[in-house]
Amino acid sequence: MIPEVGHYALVLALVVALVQGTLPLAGAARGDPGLMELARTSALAQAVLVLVSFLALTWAYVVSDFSLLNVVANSHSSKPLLYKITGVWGNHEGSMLLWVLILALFGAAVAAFGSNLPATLRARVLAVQGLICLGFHAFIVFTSNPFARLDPAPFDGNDLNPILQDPGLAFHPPLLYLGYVGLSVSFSFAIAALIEGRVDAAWARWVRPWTLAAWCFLTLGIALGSWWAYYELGWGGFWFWDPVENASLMPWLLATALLHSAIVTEKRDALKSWTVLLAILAFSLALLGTFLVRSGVLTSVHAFAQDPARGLYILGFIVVVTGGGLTLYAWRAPRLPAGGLFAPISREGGLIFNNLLLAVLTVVVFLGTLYPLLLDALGGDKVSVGPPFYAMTFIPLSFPLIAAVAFGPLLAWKRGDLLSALRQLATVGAVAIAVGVLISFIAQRHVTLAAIGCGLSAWLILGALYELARRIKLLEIPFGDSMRRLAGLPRSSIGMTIAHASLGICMAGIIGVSVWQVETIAVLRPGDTLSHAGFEVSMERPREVDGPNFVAERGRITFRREGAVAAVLEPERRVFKTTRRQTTEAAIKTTLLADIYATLGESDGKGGWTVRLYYNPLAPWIWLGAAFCALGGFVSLTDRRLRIGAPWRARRAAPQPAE
Amino acid sequence: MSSRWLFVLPLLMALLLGGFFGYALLAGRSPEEIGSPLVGKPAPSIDLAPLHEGGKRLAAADWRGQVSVVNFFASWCAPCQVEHPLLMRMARDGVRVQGVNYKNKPEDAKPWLARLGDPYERIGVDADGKAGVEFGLSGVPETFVIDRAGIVRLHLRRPLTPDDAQRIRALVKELAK
Amino acid sequence: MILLALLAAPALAVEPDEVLADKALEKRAREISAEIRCVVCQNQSIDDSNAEIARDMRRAIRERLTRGDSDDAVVAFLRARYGDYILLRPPFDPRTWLLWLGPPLLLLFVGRLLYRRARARAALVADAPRELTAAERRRLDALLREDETDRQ
Repeated sequence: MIPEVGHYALVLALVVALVQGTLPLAGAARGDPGLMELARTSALAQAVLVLVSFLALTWAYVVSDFSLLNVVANSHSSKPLLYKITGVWGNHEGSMLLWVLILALFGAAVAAFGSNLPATLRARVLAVQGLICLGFHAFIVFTSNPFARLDPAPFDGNDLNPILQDPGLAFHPPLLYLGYVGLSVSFSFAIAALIEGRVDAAWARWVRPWTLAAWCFLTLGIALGSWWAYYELGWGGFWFWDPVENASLMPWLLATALLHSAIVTEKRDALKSWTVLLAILAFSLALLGTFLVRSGVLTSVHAFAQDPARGLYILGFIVVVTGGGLTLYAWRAPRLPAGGLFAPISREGGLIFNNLLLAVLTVVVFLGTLYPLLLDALGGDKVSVGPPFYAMTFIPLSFPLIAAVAFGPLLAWKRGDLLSALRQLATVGAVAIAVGVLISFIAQRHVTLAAIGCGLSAWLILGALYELARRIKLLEIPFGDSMRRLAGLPRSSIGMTIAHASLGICMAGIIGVSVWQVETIAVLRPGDTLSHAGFEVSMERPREVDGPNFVAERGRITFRREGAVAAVLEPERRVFKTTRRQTTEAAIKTTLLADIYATLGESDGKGGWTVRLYYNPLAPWIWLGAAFCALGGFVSLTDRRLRIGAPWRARRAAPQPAE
Repeated sequence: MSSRWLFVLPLLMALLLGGFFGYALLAGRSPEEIGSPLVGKPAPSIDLAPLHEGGKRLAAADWRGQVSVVNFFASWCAPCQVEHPLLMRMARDGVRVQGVNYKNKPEDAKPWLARLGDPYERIGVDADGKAGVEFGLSGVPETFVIDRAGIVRLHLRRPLTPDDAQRIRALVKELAK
Repeated sequence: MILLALLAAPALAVEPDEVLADKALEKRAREISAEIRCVVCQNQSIDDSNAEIARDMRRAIRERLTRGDSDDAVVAFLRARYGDYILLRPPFDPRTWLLWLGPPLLLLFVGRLLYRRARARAALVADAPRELTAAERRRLDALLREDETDRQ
């Protein structure tokens, strides 16, 4: 009964989406307030209906209703409750339902918080959201129905792929989708603005919080995915330049560009058509990411849900969304009035530099991801594009961008003074160069990369802190006054400082692992010791352990330093009872400065086991940095001026509007 | 961004890409396929011990003067069993078929051949997969056609289908002229 | 804090019995392996892959290095058998010019375009009236005051 309710709600939601996507547009064109109001009610109804549908599917998973095909294929009665729930989106149909749920919730949020938007703009934004919903609803109802029944119902299910029974991977998709779908709001705003033919500072201020929220979630989602790869794949890597990773990185790069260009549009009324274009492209790339993963066009590690028919539908949908958006852009954007003037060396100039490099980096990833497909289609030539390619292109191209991060905030709007910024940053620069030189003496591998990377990372962290110190006049005025100034700073500028400094933390982590990772692969017998990264390592005989739905062999590996126990790790090899699939569990002990990392391999049959040990200096900083980066975004979101729906009141306490 | 065409450019690029993706989806090309760079190049020089007692070694020198079909197989590989009858028929019709027994214990391979029949004129043992790497193998079964000059003319990275068998026969006939 | 995690595959890439005693050779072998794509997995280098064939290729690399082959010769050996597909760093030739040169050329071209436009418009900015600096303001006040006193 409950699944039928869910299915029915989904079909109703499709009808509601049809209403939401059409009537308000007509209402906005004719200035009919009743039809425009319909946008809000239908957006809220849409969210309720999809939520009902999603909860119905979740319910079927929780009670293990094996009359549903989807539950049979992806669940099992012996599974822990958490993974029964996360199993809902651990498959194609469920993940699409989650996608559309988030889409509907974002639409409802715009309807609920957008009370201060002009009526026509709000109606149009919600209508575009409705049309996107409509496309996804049709996709789900006609090609990927999660409520398909199975008769007779089997006694038990097939179990979810054991790789997916893991907290990191369980929450990676929802976060990523929150990011992808959040960009749909920016897209809808862009389309609505093109229809209205008006892009102004107010518009940019409405778009920014949505983009920022999406960007934060996307940052967290990508970081979680990378962290999962790190502890799950067992060789200490954290980013593989896999097509699926790239598919999530591209929207992130463009969303970062959009965040910065929207600032210029808001503050200086410039870069209008570029900001609108970015909003369209960022969401298009989010859709493209979905397409690449779901269609299997570039088979990659994550392609556990592939079906060409579905791929073709999503592709058609992207062509309609992107093509439609860009057609409107080609037609309306040239009429947008030009914005404020500024010199090349200025805050605007810095932000354009940031956008240019982010766009070029996106092109690098785009080409790298699709080039094999392109060559293959053109003449059957085979090439592969892997990590070594990106190390030679993406990394060097990102250096000037990172170097500029510390400069940007020190330049004045309209016309900045590079010399004065240079003078101000002289100390920071000297420290950064000293760090780089020092590192070049102690790096064991990739000396140049290590020196430049660590230098830049110091430059970023110190530069961000310096900029903050300068703004609160630290050491120039009494300390108490400085703290008062700090309390009075706009949240968006504090958020910026946090995010920019965190980028440096993340970078230090990446360099740390790449340059100083120690790896030991050996056969270890119980009672033997081996030395690894300054530890004496010994292992007890692995034991058999019983889990809820698996049996495991668990090793116990002790790391000692000068006799004192530094860490005891218990890596496992598991065999899942239903699927008979084997998985290996790494065990990690982190000190926040380094990770000690171990995995247990096969027994050699002569009383020894293969073990793989890593020592990863600064590894935790990668994800701490990313998490702080997202935190910076959330801090910015709480800024009064960005508070969704709050009218803007200039704060006299702030010495200057700062971003 | 003053000139008009700059605003149309993103649309054109997007449509181009859309068409391209549609083609990629429908053309059914597999990005997994590796290609066969050995075709047109001299066959790798190998020298393998025979599987059967008193059999002949499988060495590169044998490929001079005769057209040979070289097939990598193993008893643990199910698709090998599926394509096996096609090789049997080929051998019956006088095609020179040679086998490389890939990463297979002789005590497993011999009964397997006894059960299914032995189409191979000679069989080399590749116990550790070295010959496999020499031939650019990505799995078993794989089949090569080598002409009288010792040049690789065809490489199939898949179990043979009846069509493949036809193609190989035609090619062998052509090369033997 | 101990984290537990799952692994996709039971075995793990490089096995202890493959490792060469000679540290320098082993390092070269690992570096080459990281640049060679596994032919049966998805987007993994043979250094990371657990596939049998990847293992054979790792062995072949070590064998050739031990025999005294140069790194380039080892890569050429594999490339002749498996094609460009296995190079994770695509070769630089006319087919891949767009891939390698596209982004940097785009950066140069668009960057130059933007800079020149900004320069052209900077002239307009320079002509625009601007705020007085604090020092100028003080001087102006002083001058005005002098005016006042002069007039008195």
